[in-house]
Amino acid sequence: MRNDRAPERAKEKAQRGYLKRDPEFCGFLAKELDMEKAPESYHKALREIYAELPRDMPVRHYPLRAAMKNLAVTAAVLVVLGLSLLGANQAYPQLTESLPGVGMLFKTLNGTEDAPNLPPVTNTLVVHKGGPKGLHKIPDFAPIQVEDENGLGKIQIQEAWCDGENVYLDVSLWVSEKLPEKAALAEDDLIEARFQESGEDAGELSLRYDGTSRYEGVWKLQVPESGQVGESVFLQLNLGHGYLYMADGSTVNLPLTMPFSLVVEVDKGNAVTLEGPGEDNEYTVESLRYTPGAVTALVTVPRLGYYGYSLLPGISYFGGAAESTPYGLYAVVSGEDGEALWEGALTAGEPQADGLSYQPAALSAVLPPADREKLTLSFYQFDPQDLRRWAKDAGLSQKDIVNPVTAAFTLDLAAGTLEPVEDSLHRVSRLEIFEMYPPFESSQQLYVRGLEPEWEAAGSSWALTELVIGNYTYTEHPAAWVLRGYKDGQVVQTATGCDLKELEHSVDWDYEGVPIHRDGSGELWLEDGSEYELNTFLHVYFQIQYPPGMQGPFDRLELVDTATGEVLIEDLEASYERNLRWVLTAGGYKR
Amino acid sequence: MGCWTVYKIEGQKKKGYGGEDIVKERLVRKAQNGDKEAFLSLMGEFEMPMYRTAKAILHREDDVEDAVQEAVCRAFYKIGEVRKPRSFGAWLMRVVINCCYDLLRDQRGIVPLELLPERACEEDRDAVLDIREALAALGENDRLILTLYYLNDLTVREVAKVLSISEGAVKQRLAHGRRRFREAYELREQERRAVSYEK
Repeated sequence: MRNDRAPERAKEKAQRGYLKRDPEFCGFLAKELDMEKAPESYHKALREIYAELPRDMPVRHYPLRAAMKNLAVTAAVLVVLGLSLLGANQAYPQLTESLPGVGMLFKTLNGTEDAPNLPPVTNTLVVHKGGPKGLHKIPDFAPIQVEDENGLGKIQIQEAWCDGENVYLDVSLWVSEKLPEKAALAEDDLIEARFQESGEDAGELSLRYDGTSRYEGVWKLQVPESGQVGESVFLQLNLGHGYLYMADGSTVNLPLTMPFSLVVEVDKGNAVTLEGPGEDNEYTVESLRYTPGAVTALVTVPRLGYYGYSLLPGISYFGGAAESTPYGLYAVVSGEDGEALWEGALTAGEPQADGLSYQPAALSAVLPPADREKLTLSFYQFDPQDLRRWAKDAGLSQKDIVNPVTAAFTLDLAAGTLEPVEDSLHRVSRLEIFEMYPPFESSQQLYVRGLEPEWEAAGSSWALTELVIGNYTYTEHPAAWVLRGYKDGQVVQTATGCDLKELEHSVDWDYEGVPIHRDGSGELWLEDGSEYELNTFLHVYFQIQYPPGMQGPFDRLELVDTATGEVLIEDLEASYERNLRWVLTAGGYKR
Repeated sequence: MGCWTVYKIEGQKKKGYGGEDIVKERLVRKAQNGDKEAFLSLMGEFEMPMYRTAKAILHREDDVEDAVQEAVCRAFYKIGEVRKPRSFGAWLMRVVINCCYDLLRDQRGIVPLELLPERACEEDRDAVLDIREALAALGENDRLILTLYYLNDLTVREVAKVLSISEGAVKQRLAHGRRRFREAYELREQERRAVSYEK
């Protein structure tokens, strides 16, 4: 097994030069990364932020010391509480058995210990229902419609609500055929629309295409001097020049001019606040606040890994930021009819200094103002926006893709509860994500995790693939591989690999001691996977150089084992796409 | 094999775990006890590491400034949560990285294409572009790992912890990234030699 060579490998690596911080290399790196010096503007920005920090720093809380201090008081209270609970247990055994922490004691006491597989217990939440009136119907608002001065579009404000601090407008936009760039508007590829509004406090409006001809979104505006706000707010706005940011990276201009004004009644105290944990699949909602225009929550999220550090394909090795994009930090807030009202990423808090498996995160969702009784708060493995983009690349329709749910809660505003959604949907666990990989492709139990058909290095073009071998043993996989590049039906390039067992011992220890096999037209090397793979998978990188004069990428790449003559993977790109589809349709999660 | 040119790097700390680190630990403890001056001194010590970390991810100077400003604010309010003052540097880099990704998430769809900064030196433009292509091909994670390890002096273990990846993965990325750099560097040296030969 691969583990057998670990000590030897460690010893070899200890002697390698790549860990040396020699000043020459560090200097070269700093220069090429443009990090030798920071510009003066950076230092100025820091001086500004230092000046803005409050005079008094928050003082560290010492939980142990505080606990010691309170111990005597707690002990006294516990005695009294214990006596009271014993009395309560006589009368209400179900209540005392359900108490957190001491419930098991009472179960033992009463002889009613449960079987090991308990259904999840919903925690009771402390509910604060807004002000004196509690959660109530939002004030009436008469919708308004405004047309662009040049007839290039129109907007409608369906609903408006104000809590005295912010105004929330439910906005729809229609773009006219007269718009010069209308033809360039691939509506289903719209990522986001943004507008330059008049005034400093005009906030930000982001719109989404609704699949028909309408763009919709919520415009949140901060009320200036909110402390002095009266019974209503008067808004004078201008929906100005807009930009539509498309998925292909292009931008479409919306040269609109839509000045309008409106009055919104102030509705203070229309809020529900929940304090106390609601738990589902290791996600803990610590607190939550709802108003008819927003949901904010603090959530403790399990650290589920990163796109680049799992066995799942779909992330290009050279994909940049995507590699470090975390799993599980995405939420969708939906209404009772299942319609998504908001989707987006949570803002992750700082991990504990000792690298714990959980991290705090904040949800801040803006909702179209409305009266509601229930909401669903769902968390997902993938960023929904990423998933849609990958699905498009893979030629899948949106209805075919599955974003695995990692946790889901129902927020019952009338009852003031937050409970795990009771449905049959599988919740993807931390372990599952780390263990998940697509079906093996050949008798050698391998699959394509990454493919870069065209990339430049050292003045040449290459096609690079990352192949993962599962349940790897050297004896089972002598792996004398050949990578063949086809163009117009002919083999135009062949890269010969080597026996992986011999890779570290017999070949060219070039470049800082990384064992890399070269045959003149290809390169092969190994890389470690994530720590969660338990060393049972081997990541093999195999790249083939474009032959001189070849235009464009290879038509097909084929992997063959020359020892057996077996074609291991006939078409690497097709195989990679199959694996990508497998991920996007959550093939591995359907159990 | 070309020789390496020595460049001066601003703010890189000295080797080893000596007096400088002890001073930083004391500053962390003082800041945790409410000493704002100690906090500001600490930030002064880490201005360049924060800059480099943010620059490895964001590239644009104004974004770097925004992200580091946010990181300073977060560090100000959260420094009390640092359990091991010795790990403060790694913790702070994680804070900076989080701020960078938050910024990128906020900017989704409006990130400009000119990810790599402009260079002042015209004469080396082609060679520089080759290296920049190599850098771009490295991917953001590799740039970040190289920056954290070689320029910010984090240990392999700290880098692994900051990025939530295995130490093995860090070592492989370091080796891979350094190899790519070397290739690009040698290519440039060859081209320079060819140019001087022609002259």
